[in-house]
Amino acid sequence: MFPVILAVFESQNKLYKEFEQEALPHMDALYNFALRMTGDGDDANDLVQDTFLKAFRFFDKFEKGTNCKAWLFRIMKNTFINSYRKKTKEPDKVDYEDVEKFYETVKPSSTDSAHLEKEIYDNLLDDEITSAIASLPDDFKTVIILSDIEGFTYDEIADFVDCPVGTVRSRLHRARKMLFAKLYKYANEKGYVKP
Amino acid sequence: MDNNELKYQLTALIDGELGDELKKIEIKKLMEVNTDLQREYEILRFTKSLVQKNCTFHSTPEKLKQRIVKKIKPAENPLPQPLEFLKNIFSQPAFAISGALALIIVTVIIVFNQSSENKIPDLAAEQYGSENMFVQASNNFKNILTGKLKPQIVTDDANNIQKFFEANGVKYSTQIPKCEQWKILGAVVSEAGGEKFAHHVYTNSEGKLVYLFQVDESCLNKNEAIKLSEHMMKYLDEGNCYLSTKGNFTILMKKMDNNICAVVSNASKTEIENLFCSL
Repeated sequence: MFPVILAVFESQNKLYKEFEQEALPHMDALYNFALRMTGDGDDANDLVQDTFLKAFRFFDKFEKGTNCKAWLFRIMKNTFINSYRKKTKEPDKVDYEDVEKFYETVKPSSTDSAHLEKEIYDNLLDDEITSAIASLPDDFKTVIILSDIEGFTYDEIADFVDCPVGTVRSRLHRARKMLFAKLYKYANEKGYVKP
Repeated sequence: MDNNELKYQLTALIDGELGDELKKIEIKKLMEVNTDLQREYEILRFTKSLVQKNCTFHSTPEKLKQRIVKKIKPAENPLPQPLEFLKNIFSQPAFAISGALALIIVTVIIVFNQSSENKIPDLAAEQYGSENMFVQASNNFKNILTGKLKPQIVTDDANNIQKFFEANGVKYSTQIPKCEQWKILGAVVSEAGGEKFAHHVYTNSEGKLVYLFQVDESCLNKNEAIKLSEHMMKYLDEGNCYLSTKGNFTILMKKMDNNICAVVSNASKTEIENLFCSL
């Protein structure tokens, strides 16, 4: 009986060692993403924990040598959609045509980025920018977080959101315009933008 | 090239995802003659840099890491033989002294490893959310610098400031440290979750500012509107002084008597450390 127990123990130990090397180093990236997607520290903790427990359970199915980070993000995305999205209210769907029209009306006259930075960046608080990102529809929020905060390439994002690279590019383009329109409108309402 | 496709390529250009050098040159040339395209490029680039600058990368809380590892790490070897072996070896006279020495060495190694594992987590990264004191202090200081948060009382007299705090409903005793070469500028009382909080500001001859936000420790435990991470509370409770920099600001957290204080300043980190860490 002992040899059987020992064999099971050793194989579990080996699996854990591999998981420790391959998967655990990506925990910060996943936590960061979870925090932005859920917008709540406790929900982010639960989402990260659920993701890692699932990943460990299915780690023997993970194809060694492939992108472990992308695999973990896919597990997190599915866990988020199945469990957490149900709990939280999805941001209102936005008609992109409306955003495009609005964007045209708020486009500032100055395109000088130093000027934009002075008017908007100097005034907006970190939390206001975080809230603006959080209020984007999930598809747009996801690409912004993955590209601009997590530093994923278009190929990696495409793999994660399961769509062609061209869609990632157009979604990012729209997401940034939508975010800019929100921030500019907000800065305007607060009187940060000089007429 | 269709107009939308051209705009999407601007995004790819900003992200360094436009592999084709000829396309890059073509788009840059088009931007030179098309101001609308140039404007769109600037706005997209600005939005990306805004997100990158403002969205701090948060580290996983140490507690969560430990909880996950604990749940997935296999139990220690269930077989008793090694323990039996150690038990027997120590009963042999020849191994008694060397065994005891080995035990001491192992204990020292374990203690040493534990202390390195218990190193301070990234405390700044744990502070997030609008109710977090560290975040509030940093945002308030930004508002002070831009003139959006103005003192409700302007005086350089510490007694007047304390009287002002009391008269305006601050229930805890406040600290107004004397800072050499710094003059008190004024104070503000804020309200959150039904509680009043004390803030005051110093200035020096160079026009630099030091902002001090203090909250009674018990408020941080019971008031939902103001929080700090558990690690940070423990760290300060042990008498430590926490220093961090964010852009051009220095942020210091310290416990003074029963108050948790957040100090934010545009003066140098060393100066802030010298002024407040020794208090």
